[in-house]
Amino acid sequence: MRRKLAFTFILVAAVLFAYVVYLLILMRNSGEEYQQRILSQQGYDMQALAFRRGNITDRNGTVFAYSEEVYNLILDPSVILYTANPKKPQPNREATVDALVSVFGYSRDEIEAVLDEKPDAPYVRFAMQLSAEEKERFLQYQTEYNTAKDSSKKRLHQDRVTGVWFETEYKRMYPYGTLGCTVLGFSGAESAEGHWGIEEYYNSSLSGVNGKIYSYISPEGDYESVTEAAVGGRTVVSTIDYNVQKIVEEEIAKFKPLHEYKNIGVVVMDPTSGEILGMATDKVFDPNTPMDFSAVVSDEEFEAMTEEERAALQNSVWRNFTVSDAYSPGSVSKELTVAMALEEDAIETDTKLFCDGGETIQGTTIHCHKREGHGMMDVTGALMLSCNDALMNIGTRLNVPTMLKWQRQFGLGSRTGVDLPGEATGILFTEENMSAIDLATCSFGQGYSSTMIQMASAYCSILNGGYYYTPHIVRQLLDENGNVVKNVEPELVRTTISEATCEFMKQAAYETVQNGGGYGARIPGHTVGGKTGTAQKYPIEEQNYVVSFMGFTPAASPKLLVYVVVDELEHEGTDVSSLPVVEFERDIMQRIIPYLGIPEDAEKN
Amino acid sequence: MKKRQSEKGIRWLSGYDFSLLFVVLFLCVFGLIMIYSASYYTAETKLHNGMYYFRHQLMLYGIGLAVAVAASLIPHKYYFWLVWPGYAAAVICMILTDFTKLGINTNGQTRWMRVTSTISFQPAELVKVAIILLTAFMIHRHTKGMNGAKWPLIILGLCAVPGVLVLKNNLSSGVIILAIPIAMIMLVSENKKRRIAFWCMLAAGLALMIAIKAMPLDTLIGIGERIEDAGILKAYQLRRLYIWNTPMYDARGDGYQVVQGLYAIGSGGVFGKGLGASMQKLGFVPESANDMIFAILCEELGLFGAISLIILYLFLLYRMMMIANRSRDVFGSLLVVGVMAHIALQVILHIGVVSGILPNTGVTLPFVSYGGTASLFYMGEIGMVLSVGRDNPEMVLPAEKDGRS
Repeated sequence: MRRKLAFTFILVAAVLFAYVVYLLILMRNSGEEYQQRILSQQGYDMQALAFRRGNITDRNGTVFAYSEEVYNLILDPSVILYTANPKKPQPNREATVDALVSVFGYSRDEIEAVLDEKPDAPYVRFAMQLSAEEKERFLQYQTEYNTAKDSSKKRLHQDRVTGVWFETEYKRMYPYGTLGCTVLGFSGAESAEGHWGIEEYYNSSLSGVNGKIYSYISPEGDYESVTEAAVGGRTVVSTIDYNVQKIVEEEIAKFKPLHEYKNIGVVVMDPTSGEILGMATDKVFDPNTPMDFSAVVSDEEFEAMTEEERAALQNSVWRNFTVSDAYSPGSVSKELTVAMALEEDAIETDTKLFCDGGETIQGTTIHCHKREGHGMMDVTGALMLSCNDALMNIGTRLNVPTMLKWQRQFGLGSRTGVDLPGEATGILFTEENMSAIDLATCSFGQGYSSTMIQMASAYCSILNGGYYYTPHIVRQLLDENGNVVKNVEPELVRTTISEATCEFMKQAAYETVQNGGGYGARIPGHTVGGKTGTAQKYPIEEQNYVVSFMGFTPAASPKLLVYVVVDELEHEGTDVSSLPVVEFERDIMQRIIPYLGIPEDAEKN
Repeated sequence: MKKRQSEKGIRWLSGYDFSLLFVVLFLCVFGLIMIYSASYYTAETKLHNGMYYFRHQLMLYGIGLAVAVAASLIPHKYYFWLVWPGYAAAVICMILTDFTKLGINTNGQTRWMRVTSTISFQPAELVKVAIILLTAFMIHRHTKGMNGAKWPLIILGLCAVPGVLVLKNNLSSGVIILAIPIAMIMLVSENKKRRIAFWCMLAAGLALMIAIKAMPLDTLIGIGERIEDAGILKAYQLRRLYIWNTPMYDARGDGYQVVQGLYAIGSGGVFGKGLGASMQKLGFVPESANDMIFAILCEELGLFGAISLIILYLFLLYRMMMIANRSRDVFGSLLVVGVMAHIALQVILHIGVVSGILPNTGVTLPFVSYGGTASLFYMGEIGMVLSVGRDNPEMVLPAEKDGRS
């Protein structure tokens, strides 16, 4: 036994010695090549990690927009076309293409074309935004197929589904569909870029930072790998109230089929802080599918359109009328004229004014809407009757520089700075080109233009005691863990008018609704103030009107402002009634009041 | 009185093979260093604790050392008592693992048995020890019977029971479990015909292996297609042969592990890239701390390190051979031979697989690879060898049962 044991020991030693010789040969023959391969495969390992775009919520945390994980399908033709045995070229090709065709229904020719075009590429993004379910379906098919092949009797040496992998990405989801579309905007296919609305204005906050894994060989020849995790975007908490927004959009939807119009805009604000509680237009799109215009035009029509026509269509659907379009505000601005005249001591609260049906300035007669004249009235009466002649009287007591100074004081003629994209400035006269006639028309809101957000913000300052806040639509920015990164406090830009004037203006507006032109806006149990507006659009001959109503409640200390504008409302001849718009505003306000918990402050009759 | 006691103390430890123990401890420490180096990256990236495998293994070697010393202090005649309980335990554990929920399924193979929620072990390692004990015991009892056919077949039959159960999930361990008793029987058998047949078969097997490995791939595929047509082997089995012949055949699939291992070995050169400087351990070589540790060792320490390690193993085997030769009884001697066979097979298979000479299968490198169960049983086996090595004149085992063979 000793001899045999010794022999066995020597045999083991011999085998191990043979190994050493084999290793030596391996190192001498292939050492260099293998070292190169190691270095090359280390560098191969570079990858980007997609960030998650931040959510957009309403003021109470209701999620308007979030990002969901989706998967991009990546083809690796260098693997799919890999040939190990020259006798059987590209053994995996057929099985892999079959798998893609049968699981996803892709066109076979399309896949083959990609494979033929880029046979050596390790990364071809073939399809985007597949759901987790689709990804699982493919992986299951792949596993089943490959397992079956492993145990099949058929002679197939490398027939496998391979070279297909999935890259994680995020898809933007808007759970409420069209709700708030004008305010929200939308985010593109890559979820990285926002377009219109909050998505665009707050794009940099909503965007995070892509992570990456990169590797390199240090000067010492060591392999270093660094992973930078992706940083998610901020959550944007808007000032919008889900319920208010919903009411506004529902009421617009009710109004739309009953009337003819070109544009409708509604802005709901909190006058005490400049926060926008709701904002909508008649243009509706689903941010989940922003490129789908089937609600506006038929598919055939869309196909027939030129590039420019399509661009115009997109612009009209996505554009936010309330901030991007300027128009003549009309009589709504009479409150501003009276307020500035009071501030300038051009009139007193008890100044008597006389209307004879029109005013002739430098040979041009400008009529009041009541040709026979309103007769004698005081300042409050001028507002209640919305008398153009009386307002022109007030206007002449001011001069051109004073009018322009106060228009600017009320934020007209320049951007309000609202945190939405595409804001227009509106056009004011300049001292050089403003004539006495222009001064007269400006006093009742004709001849210059302003946006809804400008007029609403100017009113807010009248209603809150003279403080002009930047109107804003975002309250807070939160980080990924829900911690507050930034609070958007009301930003006081300037003071406009004195508190005494404010009180008078509120009272006059209350009277206007109670006993004047805004009669239709009354809400039982609540004190409502407001001012109608009907402005002629240029050219005058076409007889188009912008009809609007600015309402607020409670009249003494307003918590809610609703401004409604209907552009080119239908009318008979020169007689345009503002009543449909006034009632439209009332319907909105009436439904919002309970949601905001504004207590009753008047008799119910 | 005092003098006698000290004499007894000396006698008690006489023959204790400290150099064997030292080599084992050296291998263990060397293994710990390699595990730390090979597993740090993977452990840090996957478990966020680079020291995880190192700490775990350190703790097991602490326990293992205690086991080895305790086992070495028990006179080896008492191992008789372990033979049948050990065998029964091995079979039961294998049945529990293969057929009950206690088996833990990873990658489609059930190699682990759950003991508690946090402790699990590989019963195949227990089977290996039980088989060594059983075979040594049987040969001790029926030494002369080894020349005939009956007792060798009984032994192989007994070994085949757990052996087949292991084979189901773990080819390499199954092969080792069946090879150990064969080696032990062949060593004591005086049957010349059988010996010649054994060597012929071994040589034929070796020749076939060399032929398959050295053949050009095209030729092998040609032959493979004919074999497949004849229905002898299936496509997937042949695929393994092709990958064994040329790991590059499927460098990104089934050949990946071997190819990456070869990159590691080949790039190491004679003196290696230096301890800790392996690039292949950075997520490229799978199982870098256990089944593939020799590749990382070659990359970091080069051929020089590999030769040093092989010499250590040869020295270890040599010391065991001395003990086996010195043992006064067949049981002790065969116990040591069994352990030798086990360790030698593990080393030969591990290095052979890692360097692509043998077909790919998972085999650990004794005392160096990471692996809790295996290291504990290895230490137990070393304890048994040390126990046999103690020169204890009082230790006389029951004589062979004559007449039965």
